[in-house]
Amino acid sequence: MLAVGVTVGATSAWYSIQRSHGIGAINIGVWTAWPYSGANQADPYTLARITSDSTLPLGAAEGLAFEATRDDDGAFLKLECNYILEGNTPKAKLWSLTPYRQDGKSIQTEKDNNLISYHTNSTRLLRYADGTFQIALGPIPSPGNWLATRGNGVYRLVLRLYDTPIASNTGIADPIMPKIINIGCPQ
Amino acid sequence: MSLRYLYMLMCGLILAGIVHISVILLIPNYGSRDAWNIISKKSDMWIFSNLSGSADRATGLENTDPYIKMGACTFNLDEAGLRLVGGKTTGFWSVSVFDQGGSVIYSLNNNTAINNKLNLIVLNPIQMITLRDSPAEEIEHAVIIEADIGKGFVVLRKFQRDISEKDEVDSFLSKAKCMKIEI
Repeated sequence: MLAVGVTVGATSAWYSIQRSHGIGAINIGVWTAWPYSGANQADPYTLARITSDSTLPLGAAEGLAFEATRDDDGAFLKLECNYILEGNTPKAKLWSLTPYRQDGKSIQTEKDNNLISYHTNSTRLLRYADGTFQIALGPIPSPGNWLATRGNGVYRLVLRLYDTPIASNTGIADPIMPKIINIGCPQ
Repeated sequence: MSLRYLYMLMCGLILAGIVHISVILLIPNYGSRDAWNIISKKSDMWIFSNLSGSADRATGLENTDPYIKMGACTFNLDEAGLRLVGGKTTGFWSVSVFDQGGSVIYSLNNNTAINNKLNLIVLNPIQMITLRDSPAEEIEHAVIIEADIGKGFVVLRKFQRDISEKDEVDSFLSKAKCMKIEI
């Protein structure tokens, strides 16, 4: 009984800080953000999450990071698959989009030159006339905006909005986030 | 007999609950991979150091934005107040003040700063009272924050949109300085 109690308690604690838990989180489509991780009223789960993965959260005046682990069909994002990211982001002065492998490391390694983009930001983007954009995401090169991935396995996309009003407003007025559409995985 | 099992199950569940809550609450106090540990190992207290290595491995910090270059310094308000200054620059920069546990106490960006210049003072409530009684001239254009903490750290972030901005970003971060202010 003792062993079961300790195991269940510890496992559930570990699990609740590893996965994208709902406590203190806001969800817009497939995207999740923890606005309170950058405020001093962070809940215990968010605090535990920050300290256990050596992350420096963004302060409310700095920005807000959204992450997605699934596409719009609900399937996990995979490095070997190709996706289209389309739509728009909430208002922000700048934003960056970076995929991370499961271990929290970037796909780009030190050996890589900068000829292929394994991450992108709002200043390098080609947009449509109405301000929306489309980014091809995956191992197959694509014209227009292309963000490369390589290898295989699940990954996590992080969209960081800098200097955005939604980080400081509790009510999110304009919840637009890009869609992530799977356009094919190698068989 | 079944009552006995039910009793054991209840005790097990309660124990699981206690363990769960204690683990969650203790991680911030006993974790060794947190930002405070990483930053305080990087340099001495009150010394601003550049944290942006070329890869995540270099800093030990995870989930860093490849477009953000950053630096940090640790401080202890029980010793003195903190003043963080930096040169003038264009483009986005931001600062967060963290307590030792890694919670954000205060944050600001280049739009909220006075004259787009980094000049930040962090004081504890007692130093704040002293400062109000005899305001010094040098702090006139500073953003002053009251934080009821002892040890903590500040992180300065600067957005580098591409390689052409590297020199400017590097020079901005190398000019940033943490100083003690005795009040």
